[in-house]
Amino acid sequence: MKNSKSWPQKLWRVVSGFEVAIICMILLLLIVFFSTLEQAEEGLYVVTKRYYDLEAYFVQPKLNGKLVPLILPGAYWVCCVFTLNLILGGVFRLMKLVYNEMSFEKRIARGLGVLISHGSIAFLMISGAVTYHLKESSLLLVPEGGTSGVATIPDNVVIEVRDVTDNQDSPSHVVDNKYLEDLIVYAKGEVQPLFWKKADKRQFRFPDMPFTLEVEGWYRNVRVLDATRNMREETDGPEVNKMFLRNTRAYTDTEMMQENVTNLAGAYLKVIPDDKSIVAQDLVVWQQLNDPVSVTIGERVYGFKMDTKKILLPFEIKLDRLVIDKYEGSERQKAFQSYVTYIKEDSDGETAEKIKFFIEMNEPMRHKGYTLFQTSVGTNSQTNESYSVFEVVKNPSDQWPKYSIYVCGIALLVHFLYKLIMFVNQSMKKNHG
Amino acid sequence: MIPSPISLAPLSRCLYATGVRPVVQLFALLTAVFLVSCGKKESVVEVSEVRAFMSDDEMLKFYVPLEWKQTGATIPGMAMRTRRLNYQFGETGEIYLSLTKGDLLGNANRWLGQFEVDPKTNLGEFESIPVLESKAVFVEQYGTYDKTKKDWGMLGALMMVEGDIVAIKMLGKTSEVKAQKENFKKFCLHYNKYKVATDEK
Repeated sequence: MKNSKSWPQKLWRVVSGFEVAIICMILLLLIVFFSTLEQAEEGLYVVTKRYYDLEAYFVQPKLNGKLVPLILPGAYWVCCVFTLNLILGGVFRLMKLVYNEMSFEKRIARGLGVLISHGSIAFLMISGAVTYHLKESSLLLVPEGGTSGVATIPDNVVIEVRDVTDNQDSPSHVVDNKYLEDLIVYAKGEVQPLFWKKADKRQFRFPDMPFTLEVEGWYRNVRVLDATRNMREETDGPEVNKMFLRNTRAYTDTEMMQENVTNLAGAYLKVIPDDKSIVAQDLVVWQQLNDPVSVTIGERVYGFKMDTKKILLPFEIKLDRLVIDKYEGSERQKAFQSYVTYIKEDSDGETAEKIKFFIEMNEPMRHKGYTLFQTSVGTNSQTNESYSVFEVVKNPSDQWPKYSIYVCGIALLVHFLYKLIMFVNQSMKKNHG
Repeated sequence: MIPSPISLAPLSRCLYATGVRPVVQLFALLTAVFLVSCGKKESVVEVSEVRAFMSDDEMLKFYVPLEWKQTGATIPGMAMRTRRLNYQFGETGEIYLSLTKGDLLGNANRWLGQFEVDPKTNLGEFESIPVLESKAVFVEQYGTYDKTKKDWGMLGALMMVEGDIVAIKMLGKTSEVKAQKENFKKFCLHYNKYKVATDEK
């Protein structure tokens, strides 16, 4: 017998069907199972990247350091399919069913509670996506007894430009990494991301600065070599200011975490003055330069620097006390807690707010839209000073999961209570009838 | 019929009226979404993000002539050279500041040796120039540098700071070095010994 359903109808049936939901839930169960076991060996950060990252399309789990003969899809993409399935099947299809009924009671009987709970779980999934894409996360290092309000974003390498004439305290203009990532020059043998297309160069203009900055080559990991002492190879960058950049393979996040290595980003810049009588100047910059590379245009000197992005927080954190518990007879940390003071100044520089907080693993500090998680602790080898590192998160969907769980719980409670009352009533009718 | 709380009937009629098969319509829609999401970035960007000045931004306070361009001070890689400051000027000119060990006479004679000039026996044979709160040994030499660079010049200043030797050295073509002699002396006069010493340590 010929199937009368059209192609879109068949697609709708598959995408919104129970089968997809069940497959997604089984896959998520496996992903959580394997990633939880792997986390004990590889660490939370590495496992999060391997299983839950946007770029983790597929993952092969590891058990006791050995690869399991099983390929799982990345959790991000399974969640995308599951959310779509939940919205189409659990919300749209149920909505049609429920809203066909006219009275509220019949709507409840048809599954209004289930519909709301499906909607709230879809909302929970969406809040996860909002967190993943929109949360602003940075690291704040505070020495014990010290105060800091400057956080850094380690994986966001930016170019900073400022007027350094007479060493004045001028602000920096920041070229964010999002404008530079398609200028990456991949080293020989490196795999380029899917759908990635290289841009040749990009120009940047800054308010009140008489030049255009052109970025032509952006290297994620370089060796900076002295041109007077090293021979340039064919794949090396051009020689500028007696230096050149040698592109090397960038370390992955996993390598950086496990092998304690870091990437050293570098770039070639060209400063093109608006005054065409002044010759354009080529510069080479790289991370770890203490002071900016300078260019003089007219009577002003401009500094160019490459650095990890710094965030000036609207508050400061003072680390009053740091408590580190270690395993007996070992230097390995068991737990650590930070006693901090949140300090906020008003526009006159007077202290407007001073609140004490306690932060430890799984007990972050939440205040005025910011959440501070205890990330790690350490000791400065030179000063022997202990410090605490906090992840500072500004997340628009921070409380969304809580709300969705409340709504889901209430909706299911209403549904189950209704079903219970119906059951009891019917049983009583049967017994009396 | 696609079950939906929103009526898709008008849209369905429009799509049906086009006479294009649904599979082609879906493919066209997905392609359009993909192309929109892969929009090319601007080739010229107006930068609006500004970060306030922080204590980390504070640079060493020096007198720096406009024609000197500050470049990377520390060059990592195979040949590691540690310099606290490094400027370039003209075609060949370079001036840098570094910390070194030893004694003043030994370092001054080492510099002269780079021009194949006989060493001097005491510091009194060198000129001295004023620096903030003190004096520095001044070395000036012209000739062939490092056996290969002819018509080359060098200006150098050496001073003892808290057990270390601060060395300021200028190299380049003779004409370029001579033209920067006054700027060199001014730079040495205004150097901030406290800042250099503490930063290096």
